[in-house]
Amino acid sequence: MPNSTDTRSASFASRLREKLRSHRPTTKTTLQIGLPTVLLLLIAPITSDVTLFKIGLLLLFAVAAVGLHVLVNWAGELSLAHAGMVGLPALVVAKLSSDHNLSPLELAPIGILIGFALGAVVAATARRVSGLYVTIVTLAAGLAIDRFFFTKPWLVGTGNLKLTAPRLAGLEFGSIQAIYPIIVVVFIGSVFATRRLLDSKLGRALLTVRSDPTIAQAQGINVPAYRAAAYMFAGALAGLAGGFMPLWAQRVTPDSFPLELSFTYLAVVVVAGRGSINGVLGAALLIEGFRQFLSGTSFIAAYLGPVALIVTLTRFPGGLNQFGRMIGGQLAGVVGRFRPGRSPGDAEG
Amino acid sequence: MEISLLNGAFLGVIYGLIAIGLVVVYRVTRIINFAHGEIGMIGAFVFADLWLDHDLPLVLAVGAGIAVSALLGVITEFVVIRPLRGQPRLTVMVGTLGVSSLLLVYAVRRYSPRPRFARPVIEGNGFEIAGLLVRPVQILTLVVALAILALLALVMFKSSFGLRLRATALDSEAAAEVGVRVGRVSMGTWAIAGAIAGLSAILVSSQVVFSAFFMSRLMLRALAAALLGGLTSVTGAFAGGIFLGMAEGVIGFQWIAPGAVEASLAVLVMAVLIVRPKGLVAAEY
Amino acid sequence: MIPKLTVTGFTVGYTHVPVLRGIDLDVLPSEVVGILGANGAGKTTLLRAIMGTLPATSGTVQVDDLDVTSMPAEDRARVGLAHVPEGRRLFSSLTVEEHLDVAGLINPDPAATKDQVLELLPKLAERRRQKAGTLSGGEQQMVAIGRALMTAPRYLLIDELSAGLAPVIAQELVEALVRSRESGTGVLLVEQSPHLVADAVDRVYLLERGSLVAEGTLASLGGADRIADLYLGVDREGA
Ligand SMILES: Nc1ncnc2c1ncn2[C@@H]1O[C@H](COP(=O)(O)OP(=O)(O)OP(=O)(O)O)[C@@H](O)[C@H]1O
Ligand SMILES: [Mg+2]
Repeated sequence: MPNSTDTRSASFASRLREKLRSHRPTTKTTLQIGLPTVLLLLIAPITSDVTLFKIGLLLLFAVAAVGLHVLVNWAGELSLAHAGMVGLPALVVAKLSSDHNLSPLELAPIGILIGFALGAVVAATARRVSGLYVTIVTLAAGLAIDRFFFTKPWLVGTGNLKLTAPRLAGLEFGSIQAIYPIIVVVFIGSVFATRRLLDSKLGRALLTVRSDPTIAQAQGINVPAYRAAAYMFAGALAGLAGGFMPLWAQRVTPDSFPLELSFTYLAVVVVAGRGSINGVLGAALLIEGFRQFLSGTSFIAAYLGPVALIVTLTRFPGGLNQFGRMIGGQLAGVVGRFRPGRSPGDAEG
Repeated sequence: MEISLLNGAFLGVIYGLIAIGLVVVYRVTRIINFAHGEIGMIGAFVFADLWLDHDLPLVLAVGAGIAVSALLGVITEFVVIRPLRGQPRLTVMVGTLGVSSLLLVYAVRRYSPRPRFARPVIEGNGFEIAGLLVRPVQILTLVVALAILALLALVMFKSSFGLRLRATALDSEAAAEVGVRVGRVSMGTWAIAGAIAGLSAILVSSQVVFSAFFMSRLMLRALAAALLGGLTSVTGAFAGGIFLGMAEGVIGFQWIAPGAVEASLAVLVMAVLIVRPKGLVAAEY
Repeated sequence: MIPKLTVTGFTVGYTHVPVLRGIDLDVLPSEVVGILGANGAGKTTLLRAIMGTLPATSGTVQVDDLDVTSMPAEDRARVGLAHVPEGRRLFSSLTVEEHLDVAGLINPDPAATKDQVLELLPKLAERRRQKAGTLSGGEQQMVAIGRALMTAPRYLLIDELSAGLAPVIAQELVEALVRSRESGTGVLLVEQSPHLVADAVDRVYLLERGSLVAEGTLASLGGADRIADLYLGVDREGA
């Protein structure tokens, strides 16, 4: 039994590799990637360091959210351990950097590995269990990470970890302005890699698994492997975001990753809704962005998050993506009837 | 050892009591109500305000607290559950998450996030059981939990509301076709669950650190208890709570490192679900 | 005005493509009317929309002189519509008696109706305390009919009474139903095969790909065999 699983996941991995290799950059993709990169980079010189710092945090938040988006909105799985999957890699990288005088930039990739491994652990349990019971497994895992690992001095230090100055290949990254482009590359890179992945056969297979595992199995899709892959992918992106957190924030404590953060991540991907990554970016901006940029004491800032969540959900149960498709459909209808037989509401599927 | 087991059992009564309310909602709405704790918390704050600050008689204050929580349950049903009927369960659950953070924001702004004083609804010296000093309010909580279980059984199986409710829970479309007003059943269910949340919170408030977060902190364990009990069984949920509390008592006694209890409980819950993927107790209606 | 169940200009669809177009039909009290159609013709959709479980895009439903078009199913049940749905849709862990009781809650005299129902379907009395999920298919169909009758309906909508049942049992149930019309209930009986309902129905409508293509007595339409060949065979071959 383990053997057959191994060969199947191997074929899954090789298909993934092939997919990534077959990708040839075109002018269109160059533009799609280049434009947002340039725009994000242009923000840096015209904002204060404080604002730039918040933007960087938001970008890393979005990277982790994109991972959960794949898990929830594409694979139909659920995780309430996402904050832990960001936090644990962040703390490990910070600790290693502080103890061994290593640059957090060089250590950042370790975060991906840790996140990936955590995803694998949850996936192993989720294999046996399904539905809401997965919720409790992930919740328990999140709680364990939070209360167990986050309270250990050998991991989180005794208060303040002194990080080594970031450097890579002999270059020193002393200022926030110098580090910012790295964060932009991480963000753009993960968004477009994920988009590419979801556009491929893999994305379609995930959708089949979500809508009907029995049919998927009958079509020769290895359902457990795909479910597990989704957990590991979500973990890896969480670990990526977490791994770069020490570099960006300079100081990370367990308080940065409270259990409630898992709920925030979940709220973001549900407000995003099924479909494109654009929805996630919008939802991250809406929920986490407002929290970051509005001062926490004003009446509006305090209530805006929850109220926006409830209103968006009840008005557009399919999330921002549904809203986007609707607007898009209406625009298409106004601009001209390019696609006959396709009415505005059609996109919702 | 026996002491920690018994102590854990009384903790478990708290988890079980909260879990009962979660199951009541789950059976009809098929979702986990993440706002359950906060709905109760607001009721407990109203109760404490009226009883301690405005010197209202105990019974009236308790009644007012329960009523506020029941009303919040009804409002949640109306604002979130009803518009989201027919949507994926996850969407509805995140809707209740929104309600939960809304109520938390309100409580923190209205009452500050700091812990406040909570007086037990009954006081006294307590008595010793097997070397453990048990306070009267702990006994009261147990009695109330058992009374709620009995009352729920009575309502479910002996009243016409219970009959409507069970039919709606099993197939709301078929229930509507024989004239059951499923909207009212749903609203009634949320009112009952809200009232249970309020009563639990009032009883629990003096047994833990009484801040705006006191119920949120217990939610995770209550949820684990409900799931261990198979999610649709109120007695199963209560038993699950006591099981969890006793496990916590023993683990906390054996291993005092911070987080040891949570880590072990996580492993325990995972282990139980791996062996019995549908919980310890099978679902009932 | 003669009291009757009237459906006019009914158009129903699940997404955007209509499954039913411009349906007009009526059922008189005490009348047994058949709707015959092949798989996928839209029979189930029609009954669900008349009951109000499924919204209609356009058209009206009238129960006697009351327009119920904007009412939800729970109110239509109260003004006299009842539905035996496809697949029975029983409350699996409720007992037979509880099924009758929950439906009887909107009946002004549930005890009397219950006696009638148990007389009509004596098997149910034997199985009173058994959970519906553990009953045989035929017994389950009886519970579904009994449950619908307990609301004391003016008009009863029945979706494929015969599905999954031995012809003898189906025949028995149809006869029981025909007896129930003595109380004045009009019955709309959906079936795939004209033979099963031949003795029971006063009139039939033929439903083909979402439209009613013929109406009349079985004899006026050329008899059960000819209907089966001409109308109901079409889709089977096409599929
Ligand atoms: N929930 C649904 N969503 C989308 N399309 C549906 C749905 N239910 C039915 N349909 C479609 O509507 C058409 C009519 O279906 P319906 O169930 O009413 O047929 P029927 O006449 O009852 O068939 P049968 O004899 O097989 O029961 C079919 O083409 C079917 O695919
Ligand atoms: Mg049908």
